Amino acid sequence: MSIINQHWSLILQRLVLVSVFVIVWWLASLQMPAFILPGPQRVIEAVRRLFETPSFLNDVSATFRRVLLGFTLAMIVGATLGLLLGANKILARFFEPVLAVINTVSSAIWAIFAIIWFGISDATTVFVVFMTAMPLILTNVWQGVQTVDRQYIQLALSLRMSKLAILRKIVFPSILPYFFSSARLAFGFGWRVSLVAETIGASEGIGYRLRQAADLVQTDQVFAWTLLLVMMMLFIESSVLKPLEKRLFRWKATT
Amino acid sequence: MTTEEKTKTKTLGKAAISLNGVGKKFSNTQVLEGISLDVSEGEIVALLGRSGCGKSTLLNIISGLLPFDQGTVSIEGVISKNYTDWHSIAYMFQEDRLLPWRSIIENVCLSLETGSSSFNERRQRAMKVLKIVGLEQVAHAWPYQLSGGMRSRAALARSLVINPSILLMDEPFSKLDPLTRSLMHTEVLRLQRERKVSVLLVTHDVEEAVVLADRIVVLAPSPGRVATIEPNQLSHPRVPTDPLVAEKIRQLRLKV
Repeated sequence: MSIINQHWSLILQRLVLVSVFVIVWWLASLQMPAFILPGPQRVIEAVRRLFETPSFLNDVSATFRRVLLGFTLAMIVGATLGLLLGANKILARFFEPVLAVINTVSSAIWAIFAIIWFGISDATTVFVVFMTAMPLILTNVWQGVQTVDRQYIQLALSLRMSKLAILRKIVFPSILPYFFSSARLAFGFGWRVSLVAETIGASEGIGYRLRQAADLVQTDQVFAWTLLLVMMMLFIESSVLKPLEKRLFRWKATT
Repeated sequence: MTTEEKTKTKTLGKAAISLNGVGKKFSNTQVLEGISLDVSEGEIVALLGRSGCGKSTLLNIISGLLPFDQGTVSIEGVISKNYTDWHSIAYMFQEDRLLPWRSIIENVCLSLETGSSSFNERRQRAMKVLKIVGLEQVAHAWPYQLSGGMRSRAALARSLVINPSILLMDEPFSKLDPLTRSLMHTEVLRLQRERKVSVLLVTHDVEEAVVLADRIVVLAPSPGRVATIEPNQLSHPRVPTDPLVAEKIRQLRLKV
């Protein structure tokens, strides 16, 4: 009973938070010209118009395609390299500085490089997403490999498991939490940097439309895109990532 | 050496485990020296000694997990290097080592996954053993949901599910409270008698050794070697408060 109450009280709190935000926004917008801060009604109207734009679906799917491609490549490469570095100390010591260098380069710089190398194309955004997401996943998987419990390996050896079976039954499940949390983080980052890359290196996509709207001082459009992006991220978080996490890690004690 | 090994093999008819002059060095420290001892079929032998006298090292050597430098280890009459039937040896560790991401029954099945049995077969065998140790109600629970005693039973089930002829135990109950521990002792004795398993039990608990073992091998430290071998023919059940058992425990304490 109290859990249900807590649940409703949380929903109420969220509603209050949203209403306060909207009211403050609305009051502020009354004091300013619309090209600096458009009011809520204007932005809602802009969102409606966005949906009606013929290129809308095309833009959204372009961005999604690039993010997913870059992210998938980052997962494959990052997890494989992370496993390799985790398994081999000499290799790890040799490549550690490379990782540090990649991590310090800002995604804006990757975007500029990408423009030089790939020009205005999907590859530019994919590359930036990849370069941002891959090191995150690599580092976490590598760390995960190092935390694999020796005792479980010994147990597996006492059962005469093959190396491959140990990898599958002990190592993979052990690093899955690390992999998942890093993939989640990497997806969030990748998604955000994809827009940066698209503002300079694409001729379609959400980032491109954002810059276009800004250039034409269509501030309500910028707000509309932002609102949509936030909604989409929240939707992915609550309908894909959260349930997936719950399912994958139901063996963990909830405290 | 080979002729020696051969004669050894012949004379070993009834020994489940036979150690002959086993020695082990870690870098330059001799941890085990000249260990010779036999565990007969269906016998429970306790290896008793203080921490650091190489008890666990010896178990790792017997289980084939750790290479050794001197002597020979024979299992069921076969020199361990040529021994292929490792599936008849179960190893129960000090910690339960249940994989947290597997349910109890899946943990028990782990032991069978190196074999050729089908998924359903494995499940059935696991369930049977879980019933024996009284865990059928929690077969689908996660390890974190179980008490220490139940986890220990699950680990025992994981060892027994392969129908081992030899069971190596490394202080498996040392982390349990005294009451649960003595319950587990009863359980082990019952199962051992039903299944005629040969048990080599490592412990530093004199009482545990006396309650369980048919023979008690006392190890002396640095380097680990056999100090005395103490037969123990007291009748079961052995209750520590029983005068005869208490006397045995007292005597043995003086030798450790």
